[in-house]
Amino acid sequence: MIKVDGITKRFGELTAVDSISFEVERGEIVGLLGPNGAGKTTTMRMITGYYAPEAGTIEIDGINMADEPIAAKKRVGYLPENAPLYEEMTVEEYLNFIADVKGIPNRSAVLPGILEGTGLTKVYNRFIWELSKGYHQRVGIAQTLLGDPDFLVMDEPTTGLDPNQIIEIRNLIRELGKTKTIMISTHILQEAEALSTKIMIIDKARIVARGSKDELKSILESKETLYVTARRNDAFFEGVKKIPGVLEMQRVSSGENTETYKILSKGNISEAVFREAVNRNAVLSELRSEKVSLEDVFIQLTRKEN
Amino acid sequence: MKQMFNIFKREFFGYFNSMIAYIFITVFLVLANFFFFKGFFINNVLTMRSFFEITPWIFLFFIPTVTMRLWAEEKRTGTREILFTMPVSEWDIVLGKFFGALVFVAIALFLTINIPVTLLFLGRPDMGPVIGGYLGLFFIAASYIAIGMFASSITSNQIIAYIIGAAICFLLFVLGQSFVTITASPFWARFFAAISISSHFDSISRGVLDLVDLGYYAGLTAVFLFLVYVMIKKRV
Repeated sequence: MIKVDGITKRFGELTAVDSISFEVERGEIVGLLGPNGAGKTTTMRMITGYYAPEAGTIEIDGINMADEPIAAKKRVGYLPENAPLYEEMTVEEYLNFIADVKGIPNRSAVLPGILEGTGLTKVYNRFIWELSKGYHQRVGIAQTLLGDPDFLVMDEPTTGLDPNQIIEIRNLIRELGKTKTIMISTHILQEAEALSTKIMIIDKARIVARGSKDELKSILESKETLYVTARRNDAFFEGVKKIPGVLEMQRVSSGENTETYKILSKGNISEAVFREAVNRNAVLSELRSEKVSLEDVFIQLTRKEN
Repeated sequence: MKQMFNIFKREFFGYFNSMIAYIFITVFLVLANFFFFKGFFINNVLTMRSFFEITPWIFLFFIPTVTMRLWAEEKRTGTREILFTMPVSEWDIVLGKFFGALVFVAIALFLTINIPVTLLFLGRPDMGPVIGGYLGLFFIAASYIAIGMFASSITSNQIIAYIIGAAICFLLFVLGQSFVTITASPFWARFFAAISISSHFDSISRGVLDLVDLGYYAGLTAVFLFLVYVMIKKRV
């Protein structure tokens, strides 16, 4: 389990990560979602021991990163953004170097499996600078797998890839997710949705929402926006306000005889509104409902006030 | 120790992976031999004195080319992010890179062995100053490498790393030269001589191995390696 408790990191005046706490349980694929500059990379750099947080603690399986960095780092494989590798080395030289540094004694036993799993067998003897961006990511992922760490941290693993490569790398991550605990960051909502079992939305150095994908989705999907336009009828709109599930109601426009309200509700209330209109003898001219998408909520959460 | 060796291995063989090693060694040997043999047959004396006087100057311009990429490139390309999240201590990384560069320069230095061998063919030179001189050059190289590494650790631009590295080496070298000390007051002259790379080299190149001189180089190297450690620990 990765346990992060109140970590903070500042760069001069800028607070990149502001007292963030969370836990990652074994077997989860956690998507760290947020706009560029929200603090995703800095968070990941602290979890992997690259940066030391100014406040707060990080524990990997109970091992404190600040107290025992080497033991903690052994348990985490890290793929930084854009997979920065030693380009002048061959894939073979590079992976052997990483295996040396991670202190893997029986690499001939583990390397073939990793190469096959990441699809690198064919390019094993090529120089890294010769490889496409997709293969760079694969080498970067292979590097994380050496030493068989339980936790993999990947910073924007599909950024800059073409659509085919994105699908391939996503499949690879999904496959790895069967045996490993994975944390990926992304600024693309669909990616977090496609890959992760749990999503944390991070914005302006703080976590603004979190939950399992289904939890987040159910919260969001149950919310609907309803536009109601009717001949002016105060009793009717007063009645609508009292319908269970109505969260927010505001008048968006009013014509000569008509008024339009935008109603945010939990669940679909259009039937109830219709029945209310019948009871109050109101003349409805529009009843239109819109689903609130995950995208809307993401934008709402990460854009409010500046 | 084992981890340091793993870092060392990659750094050391890395020089030979690129053209840097071959260009460096070739140009260094050509220059060192040229400057030595230019005067050797004219002076007609069986001594390597001129070699030991000129080589620190050659090092001054050459060693920063070896060290300039050590951290700057890792920073520019981002590879240090993987390096620093490996289960390796920062000191292992610093020392691995340091010894990688030091052994490489030592090999280049060793390849000038044709000069003392020539001397031995021609007569019976006094080998004390020769061995002392080589040892001194080795220590100078270590100091330059530590200084060059420090310069590389404060920037992501290799050219800047080269210029700063060479400038610090030059300053520390030139402070002890007579044209500087002669213009300074006695106190400052003694101070400059004490902290200068070149003044500690004079006695070594005469064949006098003084622990104070070797201690000075070791101390200078340690100070700059510590500064490197501080810089990379801060991930500057």
